[in-house]
Amino acid sequence: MSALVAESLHKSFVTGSVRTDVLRGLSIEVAAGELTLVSGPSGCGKSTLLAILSGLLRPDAGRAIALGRDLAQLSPRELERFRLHHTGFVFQGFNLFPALDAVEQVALPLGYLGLRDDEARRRASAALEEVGLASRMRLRPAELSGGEKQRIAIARALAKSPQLVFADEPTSALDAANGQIVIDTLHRIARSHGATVLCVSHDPRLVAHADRVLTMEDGRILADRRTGACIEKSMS
Amino acid sequence: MIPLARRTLLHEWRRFLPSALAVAFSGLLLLVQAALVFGIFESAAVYITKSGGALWVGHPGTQSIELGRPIPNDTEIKLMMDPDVARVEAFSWLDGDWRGPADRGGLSVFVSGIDTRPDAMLFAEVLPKDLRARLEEPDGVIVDRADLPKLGLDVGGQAVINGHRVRIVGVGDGLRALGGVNVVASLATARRLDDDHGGVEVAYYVVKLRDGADADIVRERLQPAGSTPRYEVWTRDAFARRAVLYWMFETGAGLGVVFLALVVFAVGAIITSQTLMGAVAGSISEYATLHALGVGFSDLRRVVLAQAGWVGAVGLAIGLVAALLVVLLAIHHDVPAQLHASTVIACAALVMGIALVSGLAAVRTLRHADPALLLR
Repeated sequence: MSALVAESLHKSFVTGSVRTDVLRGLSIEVAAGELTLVSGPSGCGKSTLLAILSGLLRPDAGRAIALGRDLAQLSPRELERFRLHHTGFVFQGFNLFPALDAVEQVALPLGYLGLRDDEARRRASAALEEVGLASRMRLRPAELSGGEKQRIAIARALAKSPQLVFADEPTSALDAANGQIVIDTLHRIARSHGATVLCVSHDPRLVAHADRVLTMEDGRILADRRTGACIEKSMS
Repeated sequence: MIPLARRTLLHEWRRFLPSALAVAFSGLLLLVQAALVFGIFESAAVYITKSGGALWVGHPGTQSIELGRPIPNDTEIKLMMDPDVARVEAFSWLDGDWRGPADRGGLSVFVSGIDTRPDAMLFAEVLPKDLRARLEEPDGVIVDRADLPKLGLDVGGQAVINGHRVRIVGVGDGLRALGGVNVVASLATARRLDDDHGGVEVAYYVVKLRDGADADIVRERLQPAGSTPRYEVWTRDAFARRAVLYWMFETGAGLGVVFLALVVFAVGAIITSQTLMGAVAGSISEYATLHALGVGFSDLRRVVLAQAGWVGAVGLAIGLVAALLVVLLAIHHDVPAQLHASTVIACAALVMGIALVSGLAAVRTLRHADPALLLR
């Protein structure tokens, strides 16, 4: 079954008197438990696709279906609850809270899920250990490297045990080594947690780690191919 | 739950400091303004509040003590006939033309003629027994210490009121009046200074009641009936309040000060809300992140209001301490200033109100915390 479905999505933005068509009748299906990479030049509409499929943005036309639910049918409040319970985000700019240490960053959304403080902290610590930051738990963002910050963001997404993880250019602010660690981690999440990971990036290093690569240009999908990672998975 | 609002405030206190200082200055301005308003206008009632006695009797319709007119001399007997009246004391009141040292020119003064007995009610709280006794010296007068420079004289100095020579035999504290210099004399001296009438003209009688008597009931009993009563009876508090309200709302100066207080409030509200909204706008990407993670607007609103509440509380604490210091400094320099607990509570509520309303206004900027912006 497909975890994410886009049907004939249209989206345009108006800046002043200029109207830009970002998505032009785009349709895709993303399988559950895979790392799907959407690549393409900047401005091709891949971030907009991610925003629509994650319920952050509504399309002008077409349908976005996540986990079997038509997102257009959900009220703003239901969308918030949907995101809270089912999705995790990893942003290009990390978007961590300067005042909180690593454990608190990860525990914060868990509190809004209704978890008690000690349970939230326990799960936050476990998630941080999983991304290899056991020794960094008490540090604030200002004391961490870019790669470490992004791994905290991944732990924050992971701790909720979401079925969907959305990553927007997760490696573009990182050097090669840290980028490698981040993409490995995302890949592992798809494998070990059975989560559907939709990643948009123009970073060619990611291609080798994806199960499937969609190439986008001018608001349409140009190519759709399975990679070696997928074959490895099916063989294992 | 991680206390995001408080942690952010503590960690990024520099960003919130301007808001807290804006709140502090709003609070300081409001409190000092209120202290001055009450200080100035309560000095209009200083004759009443610094005296003993439960009831005041004066010319019907008198709005403020310096507007007193003579009342009939037989009033005293009528008052004494009531079984609950323990004592009646006359208070004569006249305008005087003060001539001191030649280089000072003339000065309008209010002359209060009072009883000089040690247990007299008038000015009981400001004139100690020995000071009051000095008024028995013929033509002896007492003035407020803060008025001495204005009069150009010191204790022992001589001047002329309404053509009669007087001598300053002492100084008191808290006798300062609104509008003019308050000169206290004995009833006998006052009578000599009143060149128009030649007899004692009493403007007020102050009434002491027997223990256990209810001032309101006695007041109703003493108040003459009919459409043109010859005198009017007020309780001490009611007459003092009447004088304060008259000066505050019936005079140009009073309305000016009240208007100024409103302007101070408006300016404080605008500055506080603008700085607070700026501080919240600085966290917009963090709020957008929270919203993307599925935290609803109602929870975001709670975070912002908590921040506004903390900023308000810290600012208020700073403002309160500063206001207390300013008021103490003012009192030290004989500037009339009065800070009542009720004033502090009202100003604090007002300032916290400003902070919270500003927080609510800042919540509106959250609507722009479009999480999709984080992905562009």
